[in-house]
Amino acid sequence: MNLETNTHPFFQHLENYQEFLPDFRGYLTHLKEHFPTYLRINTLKISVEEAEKFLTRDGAILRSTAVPEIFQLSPSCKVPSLSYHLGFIYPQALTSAMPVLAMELQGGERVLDLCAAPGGKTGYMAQVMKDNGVIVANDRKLGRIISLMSNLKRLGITSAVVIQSRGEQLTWSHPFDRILVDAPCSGEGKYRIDAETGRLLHARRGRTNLSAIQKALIQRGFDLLEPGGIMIYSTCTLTPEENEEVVAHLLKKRKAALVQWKPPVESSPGLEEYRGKRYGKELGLAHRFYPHKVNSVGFFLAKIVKPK
Amino acid sequence: MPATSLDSWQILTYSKQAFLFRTPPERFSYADPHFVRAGLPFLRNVAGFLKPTTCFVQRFGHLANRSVLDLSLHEIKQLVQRGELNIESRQEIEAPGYVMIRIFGNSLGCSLLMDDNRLLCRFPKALKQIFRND
Repeated sequence: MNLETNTHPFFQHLENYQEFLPDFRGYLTHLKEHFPTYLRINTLKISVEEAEKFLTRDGAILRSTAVPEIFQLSPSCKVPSLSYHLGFIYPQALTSAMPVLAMELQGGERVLDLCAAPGGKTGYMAQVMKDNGVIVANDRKLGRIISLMSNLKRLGITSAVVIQSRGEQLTWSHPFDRILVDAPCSGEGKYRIDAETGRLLHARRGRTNLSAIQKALIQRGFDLLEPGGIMIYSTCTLTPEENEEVVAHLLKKRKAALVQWKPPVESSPGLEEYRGKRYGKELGLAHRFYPHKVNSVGFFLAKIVKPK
Repeated sequence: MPATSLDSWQILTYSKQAFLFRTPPERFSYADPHFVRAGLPFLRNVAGFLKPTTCFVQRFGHLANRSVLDLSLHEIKQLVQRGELNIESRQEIEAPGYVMIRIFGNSLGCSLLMDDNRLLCRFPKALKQIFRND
């Protein structure tokens, strides 16, 4: 692959990623492949067994994954429209379920989803909590709030409160037991390369200082957390500046600690250092999910606890 | 549905609609400038009658024990494509009015049954589109 032909910053980063990406050649090959579609069964409305029957009737061919309620859809099938409109399924990357699983949610908890739209993870949280508790789902932009509300309605969720606020400035009267900061990011984990033209697909363009926004969000999230509570910081990007560096910033500014978690799919540990920047040993407890290893969108997550 | 079915939920009324919300263990304020919505749309007022929303019917329809009509895929396509369907009087329907439509045992939405046994389609556009395209 000629990395010189494309001017997007990703191609400059990519050469540096050889430093930490396992099987770099495998990653480059995988970049030219389409991601499979994954469907999460909404068990608030239908059991996994009944859904499999209904989806098969609706024309879907499914393959099970490491997460019992998530199935891979055969490439020859479209997302089944009736099952979708009845709220039986939510198309969601396999790796995007990881932050919710890492939260280890219990029914009755107070949960904040700081950057909630379009609502895939909010919906999964409600499902894990059996729609029992309160999930405050926040997002900044009205257009995204509308898609969030539409998805929560379709999935039949009753436990969510939707609010519109800049996450970095959000105030709330009570602390939360669990918080998800699924921060806006450059989305490199989703990037694909058109095999014919070499063009970068799904790439985010713009000059927003994402790292500064992410640092403000993680700090605000942590301040809203109950002592003893758990916060997950996640992104769908590979760049350490938006991942380990953001978590290291929080560890420097607040009395936060990373905790261990064992994901159900293959992951690599977070980076302790990158290109001369030291993030610290603790970052090794974070998880990196690489697209070519899990055949899904690349993800990063860190499980953070606020000591009592 | 049994009277106690929704005991774990609160009914909130705002924006001329009723919403179903899981009993909150904490307070939140509708007056909060950030507040947009809480819970699932439950009932809305249509020409003086309370109509259950499609999203409510799809989530809690399995609890209904009357005014439920099971239709075949062919009948639902006819209902959507023509906008109405003539049905023979059925034992399970006690009186004209809104009835819940089910397909393969799953609740789809509401339609309006008239005195003359005409069933008028009242599905939302997105749902109608599926059966139009099918």
